[in-house]
Amino acid sequence: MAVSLLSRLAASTTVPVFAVTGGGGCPLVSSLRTDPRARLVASPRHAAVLVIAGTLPPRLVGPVQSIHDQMPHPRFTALAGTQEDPTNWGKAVVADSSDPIQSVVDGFRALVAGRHASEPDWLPDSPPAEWRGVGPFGQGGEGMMGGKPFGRPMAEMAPDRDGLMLDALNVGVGPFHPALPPGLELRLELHGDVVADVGLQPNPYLELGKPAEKSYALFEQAQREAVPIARVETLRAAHLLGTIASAVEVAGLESLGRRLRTRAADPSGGDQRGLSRLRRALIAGVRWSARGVVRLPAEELQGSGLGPTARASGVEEDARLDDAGYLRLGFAPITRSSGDCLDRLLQMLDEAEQALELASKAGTGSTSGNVVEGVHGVPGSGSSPALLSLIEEHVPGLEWSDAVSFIASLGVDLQDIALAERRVVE
Amino acid sequence: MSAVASWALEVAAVVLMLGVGAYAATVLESAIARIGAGVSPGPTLLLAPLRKAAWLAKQQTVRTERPDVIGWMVATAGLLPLAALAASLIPLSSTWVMADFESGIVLWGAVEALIIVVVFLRGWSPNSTFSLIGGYRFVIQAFSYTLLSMFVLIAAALPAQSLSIQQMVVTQQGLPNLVKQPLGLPLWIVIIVGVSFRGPLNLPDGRDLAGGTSVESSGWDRLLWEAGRAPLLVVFSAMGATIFLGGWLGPWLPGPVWVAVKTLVVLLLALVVAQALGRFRPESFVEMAWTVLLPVGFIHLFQAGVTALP
Repeated sequence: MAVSLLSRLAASTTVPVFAVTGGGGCPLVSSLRTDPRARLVASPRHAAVLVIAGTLPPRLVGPVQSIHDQMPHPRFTALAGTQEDPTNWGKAVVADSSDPIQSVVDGFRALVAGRHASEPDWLPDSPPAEWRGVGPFGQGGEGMMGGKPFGRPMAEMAPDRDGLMLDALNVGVGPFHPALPPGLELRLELHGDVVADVGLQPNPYLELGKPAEKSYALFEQAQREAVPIARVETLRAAHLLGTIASAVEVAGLESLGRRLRTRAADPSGGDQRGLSRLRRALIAGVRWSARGVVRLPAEELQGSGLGPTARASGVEEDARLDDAGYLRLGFAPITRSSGDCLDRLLQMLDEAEQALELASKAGTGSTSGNVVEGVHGVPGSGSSPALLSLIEEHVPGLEWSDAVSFIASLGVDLQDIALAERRVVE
Repeated sequence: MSAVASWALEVAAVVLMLGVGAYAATVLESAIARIGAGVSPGPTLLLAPLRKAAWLAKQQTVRTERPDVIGWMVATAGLLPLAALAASLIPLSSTWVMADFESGIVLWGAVEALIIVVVFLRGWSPNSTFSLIGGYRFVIQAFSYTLLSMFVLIAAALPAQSLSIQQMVVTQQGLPNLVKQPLGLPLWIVIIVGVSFRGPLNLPDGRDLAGGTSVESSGWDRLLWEAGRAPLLVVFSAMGATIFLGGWLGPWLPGPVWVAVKTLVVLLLALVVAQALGRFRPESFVEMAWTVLLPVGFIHLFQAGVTALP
């Protein structure tokens, strides 16, 4: 009786989900953030359901299996919007495409009630490498430091930014760290909380054959042919609001993130006062975590085509200035001056607001059909991959929390970047 | 009433403050989060903590590779008793306080110091990078607000000319410290948010650390930890109500009801602040604490001393 009551109560909780994003999976993950039936958790240890949203590039399969095996029992996996063969994922449930979140909820209820068996590990429970048996303690390094026992790098003494000899720790972060863009995998050398060095792993979404996100396809289409400005600008507003939402969620402002995502789902649905309230909440919320963090100088970004990131530093470049359709609407780029994390977020909000104005003024007007300003720059110009160079250049020396805020303020989207890189190759 | 019956009542009051108070605080926190998100709170929130607790009770408790198991268990189980110890110091009426002794705020300070040990131990024990960084972050955060906390408590003790918390309440007859020491409550809100590591001071468990000191926590381990964190929030709010809003003092209603109402007010203030502000940068919080908050604490102490002069 008591056990039954416990199970019923447990089954009625909001479903704790850890989501991994494959090609085409962003919309589902975004809706998981706003749907009251589920809550996205930061660690696999807190999850009951692993949602694989979209098609995973082959290189991400191993990390996803590893995430799965870190989840406590009972657990299950749901595949949503994917071209994966479900038989490759044990007893994973294929979510109903009409309401994938309800499938997740139903699966969770069945799991708690014992009607769905908890999934076993997918990987063997063994260390990533053999014990090397070298050195005085068999750890493979010198003294009690260094080496890679069982393939895991130990801390080593190294000079820190103050010239002191401290333990340097080499850790891998990503590709599904909750505060980083999906797919971004970093190799960090940490001195305590300070990132001494960073290395980026290759973009996994390059392994996917074609752009999976329909929204990116519109920007790609706009490179080749005229498309309605209203559609492009509404989509831009939605993307920018979604990017700000991700950044404020990283700062712990989940409620504000939810408001921004709700607006992003229907950018034209609210009024100007709604955007003003969002602006006030944004400034109050992130002032302490974003002001003064990584000021990007304008000269570094001249000619980079980095869209709102460059304009936040005062670079007045925008591909829409070369488009007759936009000039007819009286378009002029918005810029800011300090170029820190706070300015980048406010720049995106300004541009989302401007995009909605343009969309309402445009009527049936179309783009000229040869180039269009993408959400984070000019698609296909190699601009978006430059965001990754900014990470490599500016993250060393930052505290980890600042590094995360900086990356969030850039609006890095590896699927967008993969699209841009593919176009360069073509 | 016999001594045993009176003692039993006092224990029941502490348990009620911890249990009911923590449950209400959790519901309130979710409601504020929903309102902040532009969503109606709805009645389903009332059972949400119970449902989550039931789920955690059913979830497997996973241990990491080569953890410090004893340290981990001690840390997880340590927070709730510390909250209970702190709760036992809160006077609920002129006669009703479980641990009423002359040096009450000294014991309160000891609880604050032990909370630092417990949270650090919890970060250290799982043998996990982000968890460890979270533990260290809490230490720097707590060192930055603990001295401030002592200043605020000493300032409240000055008019009472006593370290007894009950005496601090009595001296607020007529005019609460909220008026006599206007900087005190805002400073105490910082301490509440810091000690329960929420909102802007959720440095040890932030998303940048994928959950920090709780990144490896699941099942009963997580349930026990959360069952200690929420009462801390309530107990520190109750202390704020005691030293700034006159605790049990008030007309018509019984003392414990006044304590509950005033605690709710302080709790609401702390939760709204936690909800509205994003997580601070560790470095900038430490800088702000030592260069701004601490000098403000000095001014507060000085002003409280001058006001208390006969």
